[in-house]
Amino acid sequence: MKPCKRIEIVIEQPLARRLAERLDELGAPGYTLIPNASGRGDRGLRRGDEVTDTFTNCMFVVACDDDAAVARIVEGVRSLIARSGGVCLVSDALWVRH
Amino acid sequence: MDSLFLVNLGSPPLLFFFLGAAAALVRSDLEIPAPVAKFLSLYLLFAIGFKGGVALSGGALDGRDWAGLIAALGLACAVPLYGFLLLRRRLGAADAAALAATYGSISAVTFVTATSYLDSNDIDWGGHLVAAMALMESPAIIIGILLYRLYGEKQRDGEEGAIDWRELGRESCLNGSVFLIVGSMVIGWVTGARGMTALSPFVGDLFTGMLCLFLLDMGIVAARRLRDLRRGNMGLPPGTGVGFLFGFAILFPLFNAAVAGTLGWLLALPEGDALLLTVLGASASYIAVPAALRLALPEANPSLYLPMSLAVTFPFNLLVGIPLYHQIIRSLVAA
Repeated sequence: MKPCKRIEIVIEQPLARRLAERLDELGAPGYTLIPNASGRGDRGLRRGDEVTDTFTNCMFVVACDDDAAVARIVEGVRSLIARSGGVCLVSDALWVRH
Repeated sequence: MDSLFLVNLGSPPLLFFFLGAAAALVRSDLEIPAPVAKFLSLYLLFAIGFKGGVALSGGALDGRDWAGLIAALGLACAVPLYGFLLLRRRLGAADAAALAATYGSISAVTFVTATSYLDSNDIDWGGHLVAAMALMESPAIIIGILLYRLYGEKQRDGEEGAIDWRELGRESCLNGSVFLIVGSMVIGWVTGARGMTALSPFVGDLFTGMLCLFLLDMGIVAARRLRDLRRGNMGLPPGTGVGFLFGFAILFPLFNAAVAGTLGWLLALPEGDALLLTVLGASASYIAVPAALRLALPEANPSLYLPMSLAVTFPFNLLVGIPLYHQIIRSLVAA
């Protein structure tokens, strides 16, 4: 197993495509998108029950073992969620390479 | 007004809306699955677009119809302008621009419900009003963004927060609901009566039932938002009281309805067309605009503009607005 950083980003569903493009630009090695996340934050309760997905969140999970890329991703995501709201968490993880 | 009010109150679509609201209030586990709700909204846009197109194929538009279309477009441009100037005194530029765009645009479901109300009262309405609805979806979004650009924080092109005009154009003019309405209308117009015969059971007989199911879902969602608002679960911007929110969400549509109704009266529009123009003026978007604004203006808090249009203005128009506007228009036409 290889040490890496696990980056979890919660963002509104309509912004998922924009974030995916941003992650590609920032050199993320890949990502997993988990749709239909709900919960509560600064901007209130997100029940994920509307036809527009405006009140539906999604979660991106990125595993990255390149510290420079991690720093770029965090800065790039920070500027995006500063405008739209969202959460970005970075934690240590172990990557089971295959 | 009593009779129109009671007729409206007893209509199946409105009763299903109340059923949905009641389900949410008593915490029933009744739920319309999200993909089904999305299908129903697509169906309604498809059916109303197609029916409008078929009606348009029946004959060329006369001068009064064109005047109605121009009035609709003028309304869609004027409402966000004066709405923004009014809201800017109370809110930040982003939230004011988003609310102005929301109320400048229209609610297709309110429009569809109004057509169902007219049909159930045997009152004719022109298919070109569907074109008016499609025309009124987008301008408010662009004007709202321009107003934010003018009065909000300044960003240079290429900076974070700078507006991507291509994306804005795509989201405001080619978003799914506008695309489907316009596309269905064109298909209805091209295929005419032959197309109507082919699709008649689907867009005709099933229409009211589908509307009822969609309004059942809307009732559930609107009641939940109201409850969230009451409990302070919506994350409203600081200093924005629920009283202001409710006051604006009812008084502003009433003012817009007065402007639209006066335009309809001055243009001598028929009763059904005048009511639909008024409903378009009074309604606020909760499908097309929120989706476009999250991309074009993510700084604006959706907890403000979405519950106001969905949980306050939409039920108000359904319950009180449509029969109230109709009664006033009927009095004006009679005078």
